[in-house]
Amino acid sequence: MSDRLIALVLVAVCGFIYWQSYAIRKPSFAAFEGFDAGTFPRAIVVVLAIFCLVLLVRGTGALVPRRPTQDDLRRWAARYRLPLISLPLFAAYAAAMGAIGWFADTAAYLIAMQLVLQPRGGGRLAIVVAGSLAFTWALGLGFEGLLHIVLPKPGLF
Amino acid sequence: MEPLLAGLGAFLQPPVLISTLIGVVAGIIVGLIPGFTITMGVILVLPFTFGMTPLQGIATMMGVAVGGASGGLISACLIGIPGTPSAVATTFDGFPMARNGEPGRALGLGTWASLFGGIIGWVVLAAATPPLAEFGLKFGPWELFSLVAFSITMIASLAGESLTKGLIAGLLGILLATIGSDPVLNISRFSFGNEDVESGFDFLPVLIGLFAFSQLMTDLERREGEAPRVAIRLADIRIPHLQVLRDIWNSKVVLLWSSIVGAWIGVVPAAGGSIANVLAYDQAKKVSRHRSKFGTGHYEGIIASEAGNNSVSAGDLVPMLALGIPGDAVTAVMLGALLIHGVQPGPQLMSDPRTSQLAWGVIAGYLVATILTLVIQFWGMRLFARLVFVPYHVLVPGILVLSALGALVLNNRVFDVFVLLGFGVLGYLMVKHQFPLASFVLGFLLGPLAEINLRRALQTDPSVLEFVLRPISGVLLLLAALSVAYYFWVGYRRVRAPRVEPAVG
Repeated sequence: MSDRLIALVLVAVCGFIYWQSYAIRKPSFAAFEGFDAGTFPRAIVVVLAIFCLVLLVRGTGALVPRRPTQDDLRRWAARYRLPLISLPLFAAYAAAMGAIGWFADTAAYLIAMQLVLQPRGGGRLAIVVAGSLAFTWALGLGFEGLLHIVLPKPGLF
Repeated sequence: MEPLLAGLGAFLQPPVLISTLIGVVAGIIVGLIPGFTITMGVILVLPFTFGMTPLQGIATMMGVAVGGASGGLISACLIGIPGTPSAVATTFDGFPMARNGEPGRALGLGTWASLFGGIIGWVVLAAATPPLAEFGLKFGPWELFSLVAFSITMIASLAGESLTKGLIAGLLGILLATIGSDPVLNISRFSFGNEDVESGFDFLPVLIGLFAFSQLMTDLERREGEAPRVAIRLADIRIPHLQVLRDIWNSKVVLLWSSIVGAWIGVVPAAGGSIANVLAYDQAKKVSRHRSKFGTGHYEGIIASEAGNNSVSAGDLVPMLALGIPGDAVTAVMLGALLIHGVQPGPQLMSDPRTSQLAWGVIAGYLVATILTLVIQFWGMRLFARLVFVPYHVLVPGILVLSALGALVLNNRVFDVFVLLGFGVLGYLMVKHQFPLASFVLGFLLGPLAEINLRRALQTDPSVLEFVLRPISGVLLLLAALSVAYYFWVGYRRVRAPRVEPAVG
């Protein structure tokens, strides 16, 4: 994504927030104030939009990116493979926490992430599973037992 | 002297001392693992401090910061990869010296220089903070608003390559901080009816996402899936303390000058250890009589870099304690931690009898943490050195789980883990497109302060001219404008400079 395209997206976001800032409730007791709850974000959005326009004019790269070739896509996929797998895995970890509880969720996440990240022939599954379970147990025990912080329990069962 | 001794007394309480010790060990470990930053370490220990007293919590995080600043030298010397950005210049001479068969001397020089740099930085911290805080007491809402404006322009011009991007990042941080409740009238803004969003984004998940999560994604992308190859035999590590101390005595000018440069950079908001160590190295080269030896495994190079990056962490604490403005990302986290613990940072921190012991405890504790770092680093050097080689596929999932846990336990709601993810993705995209994260964080942290003070000022006197006419506020705004003007002037000169055509043939 080029700088100019980012600037254009940000200008659009600024426009949306500016419009939304007028939808902020104005309570009657604050009517005497010239400065309502939407004034500050509006001022920031205006200044932000100005700098985005500067970036749009001075920034590098084309507004419409060229069509990527098969080779470009292959290189891109190879470079971003691990972040692209890790992000949805983390989202799934966060989403499942309420349903299956912190302990099971964390152990499953640790096993899955290690299997994704380790190089081919990197280690035995049994070691990965044992290590993940031990780490989860120790961490959970530390927080619940020592710091008295209750971690999410399974909500499904 | 009396408040300093009282602060030292508070810091030397066993629970505080033990917390600092744990923090220092954690800091050294985080510092020595390439790809992990001190900021990440401080963020990760933050949830563990929730059950502690404010001083104990800050002591733990300060331990991480001080230990991390020194720990980076281990990987810099042993494998030629700096453990943290603040140890980049240490690799220039540390790695060649270690490869030349003197790994112990390189590590010893770095550790001792860290101690002396830290002590010189501490002198600056103890001497500069009280008068600056006293000066800060004169600040009204006009001055506080202008101070935020000045800090954001400073960080924008220093933290990244493009001032425009720095300012956009800072403003974006302020804007996202407005989501939730309005700080004056408590009216919901941009929450779209979502109850979780109505309370706003907490500082901690935002920070974890921006710094820890995005950093891990960047590391994964670089395919650092495997542990670095061993360049030095760990059994060869023997530290010749006498020779090292003699080297340091012979380079006292370099040590002093590098430490002063580091501390000064720390005092300037935004400029952190990554700038300090390179600048201190460069300055040392200028004052040294052995200029040509730099980069070949010369002891003065290691001393300059390590003294510079340790004194900077003391300097960073000056604006935080005196004015409530963070010197860098690490102190931004500490500032957030103080807020979580119910302590309002600012000029009153040192004068208010309820909090002055905490402020002086932090100042005294910095010295204690510096000394502890030396002791622990020498004691566990070989053990720490082994940790450099722990594979990433084991570390990264563990750190991600700790990050999620940190966000989760703040309010015990899964929503904060999603906030972490959202800001993690945002941070990752910002890093990819060279938008400085430090500007964003400063904007996010100081945005509410700017809004509250702007509204207070305008309620007191509706004239906007007051911001310019009041002397301190006017000077701060002038400095902010000058830093922007200077940036554009340098850019203009660069464009106008005649190009040197390469010789043909």
